[in-house]
Amino acid sequence: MHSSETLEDLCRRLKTSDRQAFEKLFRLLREGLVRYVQSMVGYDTVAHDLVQDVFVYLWGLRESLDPAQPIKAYLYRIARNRAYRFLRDERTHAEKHAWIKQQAPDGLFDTEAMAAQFDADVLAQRLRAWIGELPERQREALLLSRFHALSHREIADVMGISPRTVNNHIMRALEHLQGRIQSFEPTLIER
Amino acid sequence: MKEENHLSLPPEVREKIERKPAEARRKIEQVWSLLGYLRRDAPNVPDTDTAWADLAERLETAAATPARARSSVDRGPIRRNRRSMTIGAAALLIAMILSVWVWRQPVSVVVPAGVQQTVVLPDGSTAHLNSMSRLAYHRSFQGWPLVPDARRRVSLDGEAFFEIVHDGRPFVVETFNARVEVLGTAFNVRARQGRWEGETQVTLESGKVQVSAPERAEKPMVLSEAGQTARVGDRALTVTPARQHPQTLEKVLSWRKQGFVANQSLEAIMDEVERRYALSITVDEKMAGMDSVNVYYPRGTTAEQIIHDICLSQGCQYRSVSGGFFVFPVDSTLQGSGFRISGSGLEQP
Repeated sequence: MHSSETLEDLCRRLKTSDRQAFEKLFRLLREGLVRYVQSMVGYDTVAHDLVQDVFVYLWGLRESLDPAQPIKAYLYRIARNRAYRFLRDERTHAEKHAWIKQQAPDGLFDTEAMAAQFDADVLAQRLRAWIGELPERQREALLLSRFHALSHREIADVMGISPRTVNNHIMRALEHLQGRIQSFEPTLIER
Repeated sequence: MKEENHLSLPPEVREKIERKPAEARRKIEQVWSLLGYLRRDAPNVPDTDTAWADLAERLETAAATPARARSSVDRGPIRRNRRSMTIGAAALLIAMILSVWVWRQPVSVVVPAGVQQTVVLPDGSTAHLNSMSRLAYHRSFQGWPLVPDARRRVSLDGEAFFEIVHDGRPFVVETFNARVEVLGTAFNVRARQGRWEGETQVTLESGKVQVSAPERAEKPMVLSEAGQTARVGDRALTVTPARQHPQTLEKVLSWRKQGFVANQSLEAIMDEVERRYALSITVDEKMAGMDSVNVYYPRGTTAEQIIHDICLSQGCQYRSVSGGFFVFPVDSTLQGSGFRISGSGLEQP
C-alpha cells in the first residue's frame, strides 16, 4: 500500500522530468487504471492501449503538473475521458452493452443455477453480473471506491460530480447488491 | 500487484449508515467485503513490465520527434476543446437569435375601455390613444438592432391622434385597410372594425399626409388642408374637403377633450359609449333598427348625460343597472324584454 504522500513526492519529481519517478508512478497506478478503463470500455486490449496513452500524455505535460493536485485522481480523470471518447468515437455503446449482458446470461438466474453449490468463482461471476445491472454512474463510483482506493473527494473529482452524489451512488449500489446477494444466497450476509 | 482490497467501508458510507440498525449496518459491510471476490480475475493484458517497456520505447520515439509526438499526444484535449467551443458557439448563436427575436417583437400599447392614454414614440412624436385602442411599433423604430428603419412605422387598431415631429423619415400609420404616410404633422386616425364600422378615417389637423389603401390599386390621396378627411372603406377611398363640413376637425378631435360625437344608429352609439366609459349598456330589442342619431359634445361629458339626451330626443327611458345602463322604449312593458320588476329594481332572470 502506498501513501498519498509518496504519490505527491513522485509527482514533484516527475515535474522535474525524473524518469524513475515516472516509472514508479506507472508501476503503482497502471494496473488499477487498466481495470478501471476495462470496466468502462469492456475490452482488455483497448483498456491497455488507452492507459498507455494516458501515461504518454502525462509524460508530455509533466512540466505543467501541480503537485498539490492529487495525481491519482487526475490520472483517473484523464483515463475516464479517454474511455468515454473511445466509446463515442468507435460507437461501441451497443457492443459494450452486449458485453455487460454477456456477463449476466439468462441461465444465471435459473432455479437450477441458483441451486448450484456456492463457490468463489460462481460468486465472483454473479457479483459481476449484479454490478453489471447497476446504473453506469453507481457502478463507476462503487468500483472506484472499492477497488481503486480513491476517496470520495477524489472520485467526485474524477467523475465531475459532488462528493455527496458520490456517496449516494455508492450507497444505492451497495443496497442493490445487498438485495441481490440476499435473494441469491442469504447465508452469505446473514450469519 | 498492489493489493488495494479495502476491507473497511469509506468513512462517508460509514457515517451514512451509522444510524441504521446494527443488522443493516453489518449487511452493508458484508456486501463491501464480498466484493473482494471480484479481484480474482485480472484483465487479459500485457503485464506491467512489458507495458513499461512499450511505454519507454514510445517515449524515446516521442523525444526523437518532439513536435509531431507532442501534437499527436495533445490531439485529444484539443479536439475536445474544439468540440466544446463549437457547442459554446452554437449556444451563443442561439442565444443571440433568441434575443434578437425577442427584441424584434413589436412594442404594443393597449388602452382599455374607459381610459385614454398618450404615448410618446421613440422619435418624440406623440400618439393620443382613445379608449380600447391598440398601437404597435418596432422598438426604437428599428427593425433590427442598430439599423434604423427607413420609415417610422406604427400599426393602429382603434382611434388615435398623432402629432408627428419631423425627423427626415416618413411616418407611417398602418390600419387594417389603410396606410397614412406623413413627414411632420398632426392628424387623427380612426380605424375600428366591428358591427357598425368598417372603415379607416383620417382627419388632418396640420401639415400634409398621404393616405393609401395597400390592398387596392387606387391612387393615394393627399390631405393638405386642416379638417380634410380621407375615408378608406370597403368600396372606395374618398376625401371629404374641409369646407363641406367646417366643424369636422373639432368634432373628430372632441374625444381628446372628453367630448363625444356620433352620427350613427342608437346601437352603434351605445357601443361607442361602452368603449369610452367602460360600461355595459343593454338596448331593448324593440329599439333596434331606429334611424341614426346625431350627437355632439365638444368637451367634457358623461355616459349618463349622453344617454339621457338621446332618450329625451328619441323617446326612450333608461335605468342604471349594475355595471351600466338599460335603455328601453317609453311605452314598453318590461315583460317580454327579458327583464322583470322585482322588489328593489331590475334584475336579470
